[in-house]
Amino acid sequence: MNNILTYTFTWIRANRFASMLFDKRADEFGEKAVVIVLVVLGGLAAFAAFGSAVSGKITEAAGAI
Amino acid sequence: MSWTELVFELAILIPILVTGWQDYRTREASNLITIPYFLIGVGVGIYRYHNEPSMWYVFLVQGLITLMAWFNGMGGADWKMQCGLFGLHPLMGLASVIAEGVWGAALLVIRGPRANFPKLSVMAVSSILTFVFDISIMPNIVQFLPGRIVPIA
Repeated sequence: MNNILTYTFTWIRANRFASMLFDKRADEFGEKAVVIVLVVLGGLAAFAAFGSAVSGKITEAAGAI
Repeated sequence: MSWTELVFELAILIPILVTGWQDYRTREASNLITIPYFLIGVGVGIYRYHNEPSMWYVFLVQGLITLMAWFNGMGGADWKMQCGLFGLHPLMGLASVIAEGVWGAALLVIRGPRANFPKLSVMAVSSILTFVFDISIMPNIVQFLPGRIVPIA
């Protein structure tokens, strides 16, 4: 039962990704574009604030490996 | 700007112009252009990170855009071209996201909610403007910005 559920949910996720990959739609609502720019700029602001620390940790971890 | 950089940027720009025109006419873009563009963009993003670990913010932005497409229902062609553009040319990607946000905000104010627009066309216009700045005065400005955001061909 557990395997069936795992398989089903995995298939749905894979199917969602495939539908995104083969989707041809290219129009966008104004409010969604505003949300996207806020999220991306927020992410980049976080990168500017903590990016060097995270890069340092990644380099440190890679060096340890 | 060297000839190789110019050719590299034109190779990035031409598929965006074609899909921008398709989006303007039909509100759809061909998978023959968008899927290879997405795959090449993600591949180039990985190559950039391999060359310089501080470029991991390209993955950050591609991941954020993918999450937005997954949960917020962004058009598939928009998602593919946006992720590809960020991998191939982060500065053009950033300029296009900002241009789309400004365009979306103006549309929201003028026409109200649920008004839609051809996003790839806006991306094409902003990419052309970035290219024009890039071959004129942009290199003189970006040298003062932190990090390397202008790609090397």
